[in-house]
Amino acid sequence: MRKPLGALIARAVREHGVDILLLAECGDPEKDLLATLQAETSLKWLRLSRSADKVQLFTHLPQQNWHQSHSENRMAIWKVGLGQPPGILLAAIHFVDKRSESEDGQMLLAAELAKEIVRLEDAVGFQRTVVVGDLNMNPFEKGLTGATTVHAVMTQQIAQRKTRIVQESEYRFFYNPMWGFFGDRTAGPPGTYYYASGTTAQFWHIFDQVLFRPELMNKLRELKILDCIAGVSLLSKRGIPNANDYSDHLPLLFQLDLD
Amino acid sequence: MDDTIPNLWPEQFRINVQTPLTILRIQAQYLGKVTRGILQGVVETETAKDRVQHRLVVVAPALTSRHTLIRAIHSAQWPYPAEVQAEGLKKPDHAGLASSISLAGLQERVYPTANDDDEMQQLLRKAFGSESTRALISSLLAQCNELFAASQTKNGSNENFVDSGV
Repeated sequence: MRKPLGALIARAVREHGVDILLLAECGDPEKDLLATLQAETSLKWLRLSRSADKVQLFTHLPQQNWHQSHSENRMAIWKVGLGQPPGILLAAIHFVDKRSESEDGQMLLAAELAKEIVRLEDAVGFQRTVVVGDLNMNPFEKGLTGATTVHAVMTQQIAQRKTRIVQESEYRFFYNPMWGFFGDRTAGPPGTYYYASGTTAQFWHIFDQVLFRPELMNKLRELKILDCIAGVSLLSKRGIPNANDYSDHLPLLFQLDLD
Repeated sequence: MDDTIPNLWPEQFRINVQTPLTILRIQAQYLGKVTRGILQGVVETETAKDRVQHRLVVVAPALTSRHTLIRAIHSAQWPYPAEVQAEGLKKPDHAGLASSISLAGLQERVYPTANDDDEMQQLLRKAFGSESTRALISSLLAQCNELFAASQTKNGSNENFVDSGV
């Protein structure tokens, strides 16, 4: 049985000064996680998601700053009063995995997400949007790169064009900085998830991602894949995520300067 | 017609069969009626390759929030069979899993499939009556009522937003 992770998570939260904690596929979080977070940080933490939600959202920011604008078990979009007005939109996602759904099925969910984000951006009148979560697709897959899906591109230079017209329809870009984390020529681990099977194996995947609309991409101050928390390695002796003791996914840490 | 050869077609074939999209659109309209306009239903459609997805979305205008309640997914060419995805339709063993799981290369569906409009309607009835749907609709109605009550108090009126029949 996996060790309880509450204390380790709380240490990571304190170590990095986390304001918003998102946990995917964590089941019903440990009942004392809020108390553990509070004890570790001396801040009052709230759990804003429903128990059925695939991504559990915790924060110490005031509850009145949060408004859930779209929900479905696998995706929730929040309008958050954070930093300079008008704040941001935060989409917390856990897409269905590849063992459970075909590429088409993943693309349908991605198209659904893209449509709901655009609808909400139009309603609130701004596009300061962040998408974060376990997308269960790599950055290069159609569900993330397609114009009718999330439309996330690998460079800020492309994203700063803001939109692209495809077959007479205009589609907004996301910037996906996770492209830059593949392999061993970058700082940190080669991906967030390791899976080796079949005749063609990629071994390391980056399923855990954070995407930004062009309006926010210049606000990104820090982004890394964590393989260590408070001196505790999250990797096994083989150098891959230690699923037995911690998680089969490595956590992401990102910081936005919104002031 | 040669009377010596019997009709081998099953009797349940009807000619007035409706597509999943039509059925969802009608149910979306009913949601507005049964909640007296506090909530609205809309149907959204997405496509990917050769698959089409229709979603029944519950809209709470007072809360400016939307909630995807049910998805019906079928091929772009044929409306049936349609997989019907809703929290209340998950097979008990698969709570928490996705639409299907792979077992020895075979896909075992987690959500049920409708092969005609009768089955589609039966599945929607089951999903609408499920605990998760009742909890969602009740939560939204309660939040709308609370919002309106606060607004009425602010404006100096004591009238209820929703009468006792809802």
